[in-house]
Amino acid sequence: MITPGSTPSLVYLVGLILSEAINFLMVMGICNAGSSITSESLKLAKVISNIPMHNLDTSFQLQVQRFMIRSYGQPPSVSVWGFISFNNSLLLSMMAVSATYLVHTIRQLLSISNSKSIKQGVHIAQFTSVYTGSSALMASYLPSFRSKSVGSISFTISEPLKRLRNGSQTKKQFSFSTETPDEDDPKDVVALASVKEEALSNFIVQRTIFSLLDPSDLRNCMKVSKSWEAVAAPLLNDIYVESRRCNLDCCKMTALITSGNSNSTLYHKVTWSDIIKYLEDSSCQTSYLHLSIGRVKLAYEEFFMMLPKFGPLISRLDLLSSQHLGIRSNSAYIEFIHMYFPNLKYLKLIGGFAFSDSADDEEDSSFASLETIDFGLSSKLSAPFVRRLLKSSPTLQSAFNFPVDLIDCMVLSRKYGTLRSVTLPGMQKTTAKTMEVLLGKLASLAPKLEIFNLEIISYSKFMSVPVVKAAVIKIIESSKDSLKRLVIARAEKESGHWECPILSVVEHLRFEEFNGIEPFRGVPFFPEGSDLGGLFPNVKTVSVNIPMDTQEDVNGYFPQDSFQTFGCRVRNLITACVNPECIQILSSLFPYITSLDILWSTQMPSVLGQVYGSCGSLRVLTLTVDHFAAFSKHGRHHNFDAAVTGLSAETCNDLRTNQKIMRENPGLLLNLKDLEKLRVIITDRKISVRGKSQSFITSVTIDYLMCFMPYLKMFIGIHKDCIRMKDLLELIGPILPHVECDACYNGGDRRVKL
Amino acid sequence: MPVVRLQSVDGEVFPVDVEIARMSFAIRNMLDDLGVQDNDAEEVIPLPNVTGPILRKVIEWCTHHKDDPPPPEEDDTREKRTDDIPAWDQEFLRVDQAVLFDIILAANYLDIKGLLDVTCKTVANMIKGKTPEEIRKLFNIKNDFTPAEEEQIRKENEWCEEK
Repeated sequence: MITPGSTPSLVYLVGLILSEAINFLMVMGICNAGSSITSESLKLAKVISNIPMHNLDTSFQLQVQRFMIRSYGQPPSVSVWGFISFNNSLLLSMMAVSATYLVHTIRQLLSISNSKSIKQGVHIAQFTSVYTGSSALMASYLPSFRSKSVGSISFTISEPLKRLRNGSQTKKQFSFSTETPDEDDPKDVVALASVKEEALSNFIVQRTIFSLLDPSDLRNCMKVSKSWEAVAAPLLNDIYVESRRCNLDCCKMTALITSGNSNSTLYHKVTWSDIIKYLEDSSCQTSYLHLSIGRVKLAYEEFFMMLPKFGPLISRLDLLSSQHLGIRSNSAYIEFIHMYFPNLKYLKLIGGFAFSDSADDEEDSSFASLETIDFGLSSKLSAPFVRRLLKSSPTLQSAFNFPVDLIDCMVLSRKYGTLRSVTLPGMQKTTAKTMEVLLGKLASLAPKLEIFNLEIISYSKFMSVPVVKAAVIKIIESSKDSLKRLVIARAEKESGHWECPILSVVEHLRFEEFNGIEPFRGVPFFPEGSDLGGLFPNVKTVSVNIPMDTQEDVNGYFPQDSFQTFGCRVRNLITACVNPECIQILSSLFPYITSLDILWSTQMPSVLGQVYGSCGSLRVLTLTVDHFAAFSKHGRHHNFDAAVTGLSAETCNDLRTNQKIMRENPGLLLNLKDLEKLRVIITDRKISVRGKSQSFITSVTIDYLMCFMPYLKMFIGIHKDCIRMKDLLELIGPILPHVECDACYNGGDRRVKL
Repeated sequence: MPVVRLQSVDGEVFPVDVEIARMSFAIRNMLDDLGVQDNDAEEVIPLPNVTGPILRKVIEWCTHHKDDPPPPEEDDTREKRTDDIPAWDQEFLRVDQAVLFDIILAANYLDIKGLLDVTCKTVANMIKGKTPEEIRKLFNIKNDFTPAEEEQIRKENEWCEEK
């Protein structure tokens, strides 16, 4: 059966293992010596072990993970799960069912080895035929196989399959038939189900099918059953890669990567190889990779094979949770970054990094070029971790969103000069005393912050504590030449922000209000007569994130006399206010704004009607849609079209039905004579679900813009949703071919806390 | 034209042109291993995994595609599409699910890459756009996840889930 001159070490090994297996079973009393299983299996072992040995070649190894001898039917079914490797490289993951197939497997392996077509580490497609029978278990083992030490042998007697118990267990049970099964006949139903199950539990078949699917379909497949998940999950590494600073064919490269499959959407058509090639070809140091390592596990060899290639090219990394990487300690984390991302300049931590091991005395690898660490989105940080990270970053220049309760780590590492912004503990966790101590420490370091957010301090009324207030002012004073963004909050009558020195570097001022502080509603942020223009001479952008319902609210918070001079200098206004009347008053305080960013709401037609009348110099209008309910509860098409065009909802509906734009009714948008750009930002991803994308950018809007404002540039930003962006592009691309899109939009003042 | 005889599991024998039979890598290897010459017309190759009706379908497919260029090597960077199934293949695969999956198994066993690709594309198209529950119903698959496991999967995918 086996060609002489082949590689019989493998054959011998199989025979040996089988013999040992059966002996073991007999010794353990699991197999009845008189049963047909034993005799048949022994026969099988004998057949295989008697294969003549020639040219012993130890480079092949069969590593058996599991035996299964089924105790039903004739002949007994022997299943073998394991690996065949060549020079220690995985050649194939094997499941052989029954003696015939086991021999067939070996035969094929030998024929391949003779044809010299073996490449190390390459899966040999020719072996697909050995995957027969129900290989669901095999599939479920695959992801963990590669990380396990192999070589162990275990034995299992399977439970008889119920559906086979009463029937014959011959191959004819799964017989091929061109006859249409009668779905009413239980026998045919079982047969049909069996064939499907056999095919769909076949690893190679499953993998071939899954490799043809988009990430979204793959994700659905993962949820079907455990065996499907086992095959689909490694294909869907769920690695989110975005390159925001690199232009790839004039569009931002952004992708949900699946290993071994090019995805089907416009922005998904990149593979690891593409990325590596692109990074190698371009100025790689400007690239930005966001790796979401949620499902990437050590077992996913492809990812880790690629890491050494692309890792050194990456200068900016957003690293999500470390748990799946098997990182359990500070040392392991530092080693991981050091090994794979040696040229990292910017590191952003997202998720938990609460390793507790200290091991300060150990000599760590250090990051030679790490300049910036953003601690911002880390939900949980431990002091040992932060200390170790700082210690390993000798070239650190900037630390953003540093948790102020770990300020001692900064002091100990003498890196406090790198502080650029801090995060304060939550209100629930903080007492006035704690805040006093923490801010006192921070103030004593005389930090040069770029961003300072006083929300928590104000909301918690700590600003009324003299020591806290003094510390805040001291911090602002030490930062007066570096502070670019300041968030001030209005939660008590005597906030005292105006006692700050002149902040000539501040460009962005954000006004916050704690919702529900009724006693101070409408109380001004600054006392009467304050010279805001003098305090903030270079502010260009103002954000107003305050719930305002009445004219009195606006006039109260922003008295005319304080804002008149100051307001004329502001060019960009961002507001979460949705009340039309309030927006009109607010926008009149800033008469020369060229950019307005407003939240989309159901009142938007009225809002824009007011705004269009008072913001004649507007060049960029941004409509931020961040609330799904606004679309789901109210007429989806009507509102958006009406908002953008200024036409009535009824007119928009007519236009949609008739597909005709009425030139005699140009709407309000035309009042904005200088408008150059319309930006639509969708930050609530629920809105951009397939099929609903047309809900907010309809043909009416597009036709209207084309008809009346063909010069208008349009930008669409979607928060991290490449697939929906493709839908949108398909919809509007033919009409507005030069529309700008960003499927990974992450700007906007509302979503990103200062 | 040299001919080999392929025998299905139910004993039916199909004389097939060698060149057509060699589209199956399994048969090709077998012929090479056995040293079957072109004139060994009496040699019968048993195919214990394939029934007569399905083998007939497979031979029909191979005959139609005998002049196709060899399928390209596996290339991860190549875009994998499912909307490019030729019209003839679409018609050929217009069979009930049981037959379709039988053909898949046969293509897999016989290692006929082109046939496996086109049948898998057909199944992929059946899966596309369906929810997990719809897929289960379509293929009669039991959901063996516990609610806790489902929740875990949902959480792990939350960051990129299409909501």
